[in-house]
Amino acid sequence: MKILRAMILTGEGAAGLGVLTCLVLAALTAPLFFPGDPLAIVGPPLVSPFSDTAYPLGTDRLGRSVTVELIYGARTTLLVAITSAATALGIGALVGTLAGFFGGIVDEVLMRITEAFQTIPAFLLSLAFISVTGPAIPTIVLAIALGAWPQPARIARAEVLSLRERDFVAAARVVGMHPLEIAVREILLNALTPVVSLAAVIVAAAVLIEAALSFLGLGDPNRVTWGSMIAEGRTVLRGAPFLSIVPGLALVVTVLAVHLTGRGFVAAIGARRIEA
Amino acid sequence: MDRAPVLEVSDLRKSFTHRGRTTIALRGVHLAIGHRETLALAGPSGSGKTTLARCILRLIDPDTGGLRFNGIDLAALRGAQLRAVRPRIQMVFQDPMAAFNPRATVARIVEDPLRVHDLVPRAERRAAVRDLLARVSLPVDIADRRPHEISGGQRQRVAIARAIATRPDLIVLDEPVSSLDVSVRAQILNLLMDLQAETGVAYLLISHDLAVVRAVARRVAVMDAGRIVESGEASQVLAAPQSPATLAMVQAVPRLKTVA
Amino acid sequence: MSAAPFLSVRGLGVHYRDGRRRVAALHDVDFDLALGGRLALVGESGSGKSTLALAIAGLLPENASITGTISFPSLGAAPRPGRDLGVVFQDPGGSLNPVLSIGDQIAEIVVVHRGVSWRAARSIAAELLDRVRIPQAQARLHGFPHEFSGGQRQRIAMAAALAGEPRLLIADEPTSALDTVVQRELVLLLDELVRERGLTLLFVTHDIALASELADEVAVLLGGRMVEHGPIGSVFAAPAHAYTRALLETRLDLDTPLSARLLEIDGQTFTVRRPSEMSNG
Repeated sequence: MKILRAMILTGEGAAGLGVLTCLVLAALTAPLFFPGDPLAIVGPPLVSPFSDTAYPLGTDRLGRSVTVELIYGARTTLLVAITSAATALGIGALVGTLAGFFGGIVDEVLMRITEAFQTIPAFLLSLAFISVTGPAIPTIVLAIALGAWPQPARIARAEVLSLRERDFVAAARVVGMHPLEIAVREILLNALTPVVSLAAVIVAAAVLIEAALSFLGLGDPNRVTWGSMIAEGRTVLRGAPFLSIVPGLALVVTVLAVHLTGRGFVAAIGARRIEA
Repeated sequence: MDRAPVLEVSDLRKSFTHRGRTTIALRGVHLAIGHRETLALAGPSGSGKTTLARCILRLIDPDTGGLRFNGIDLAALRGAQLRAVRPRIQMVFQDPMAAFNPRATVARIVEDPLRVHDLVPRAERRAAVRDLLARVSLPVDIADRRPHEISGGQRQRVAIARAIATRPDLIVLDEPVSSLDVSVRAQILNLLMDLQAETGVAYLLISHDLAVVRAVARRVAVMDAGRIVESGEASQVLAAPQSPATLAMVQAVPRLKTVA
Repeated sequence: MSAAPFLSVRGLGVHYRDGRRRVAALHDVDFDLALGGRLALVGESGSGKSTLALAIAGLLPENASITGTISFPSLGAAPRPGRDLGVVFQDPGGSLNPVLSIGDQIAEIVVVHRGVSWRAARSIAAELLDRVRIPQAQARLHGFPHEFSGGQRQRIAMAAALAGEPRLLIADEPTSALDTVVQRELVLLLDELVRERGLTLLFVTHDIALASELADEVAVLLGGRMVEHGPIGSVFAAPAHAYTRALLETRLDLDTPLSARLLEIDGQTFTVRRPSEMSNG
């Protein structure tokens, strides 16, 4: 994949992809290295990090291993973030393309709906949704996607509007292509590039919203997430700050890595465009 | 003309309304093109040439007026019926780069008309594409390249290959050589003339460059402000222009001075 | 009368760095241009004509490296863009800032290069716009580039290029994006402006007839080399290089009769392809 190679060539893309790859690998192999329930009590409570090799990052108030919790937390975080971003991009791209392609009343209706969602702050929207449906992975994913889809929708629509006027679309009509084929093959696929560059931003935001929801106790109660770890650590913040700092650092590193990957992607795409 | 005209346009009118202001693009255009004939459509920018071309191709709909193609009322066709007629009228655009899907390969571009209208069974399409590329003097290995990887002249040849794939009766050429290097223009024009001699296709050649008109078109129609103000044999019209628009265009052509 | 030329180019070569490759755009270009002279650079895409013009203007991109020298003997120092030389580009939309009014853009150039007050600068801007025949110049000062047609934008670009009162005007295919009638108006205007201000003109074009109308010297570029250079009348009357001959022979103009076959230039040898040599099929 030429884009992948170009991304790695930019320093940011390499750094971002490197960190993300480690994260994904750790998340995927977690059950291999740390089998069992991450919420199981494995040792004495509040062991400091780097003091005992059995618990490299220490233990929390109940004696659960922070390392195990961290890695299992990564699974939830990545799962939720990527799924909700994909959902948001999917809904947004579809709505935006339909609005841009058909125009007229379809465009008006879809855009008013998009604006309605956009005026409500994303986090509050997610909060409200979760309080109604109750916390579980699917509902959390949907809650985050609901706040994030308007942006890709706008971008997709703008791209489609500009693509519609281009000569190659007219050429497709002259050739006699069916409008649906034109919409998908000629327009949609070309409109996706700027939408995909949004992916990094949405994933990063999703990570943070998920953490915030968990922190507030609205996350899935059966799973460990970095947000719930920070919430747990709140009560002993003075005595054992590491319980909140460690997952907090993990969040920072992840969000940074996603941003860097996004920038590497945009740079790689941009570089190719100039080449042409 | 011993055959019925391929295209007959009568009293075609079109206006655009944007934010309350109406611009009249076509004020009643009449023209006819016959089999194996090249009619040049010349005129300054804004004269309505592009609008007329788009109406003829039914990319936009004229307001009123007659548009008969091979005897069929082209203006009345819609949807699937219109798409069924498309193979008979094709177009070559001014900017070959803009006329192709940036993600498509040459092979796909040339294959599209064959596939959309099911003119060739799938197994034979690759061979049909090869034949078309050879017809426009392109090397076969160009089929897997993308538009931005080949030269301007080659791109225009691909556009011509796509246009002739369905063996149309009429091809609209919108400034086919304006964006090409001077040395490539003759090659493309020669190719177009050869194809016309072989297949009998009619051309509507839109050009603001009268030298190109003079070199390839027998008849010319000059447009100004939405109307055809002068038409006739190109050699006569350009040698003795009657209308102010034609005169301005003729005087605007740069002339080679060989004395200091 | 000084014998020193206004512009002197010696052994000029330009390379672009593209990833790991080095692409040569110009080789070994030598020529002089006298003060008040008008030189046309003729060639096709890839010939290096635009690269040469941009090199002289000091506008080559960062990945370009120059060998050889470009000197302006009478200026003493390197030319200051805007003040000593002005540039008009091919794309009428590209050389004007879309978010500034045309009055502001031109006035800014006047303020920076001629050191007058904003008020005086705006008044000079209105005069310049009037000179390039923008109707109702004073009122149109507040207009934005997108409100004008392509031909008008190019005229505004000319006004901007001349606002700093430069000695040299470089025009890179200024009319290629315009239709013939608008091109004619622009060329006439350019001719007048160059004449009345005693400017030295360097202009790039692919149209040799246009070159002959506007310039008194011509340089023909092919594959990055200058293959011919001299007074325009004699070069076109008796070209020394085969490529120049080919360009002249294959030229289309209003006297070209309607024929079944136009003369082509061979892509390898850059000479005219004779009918007997052409293979069919």
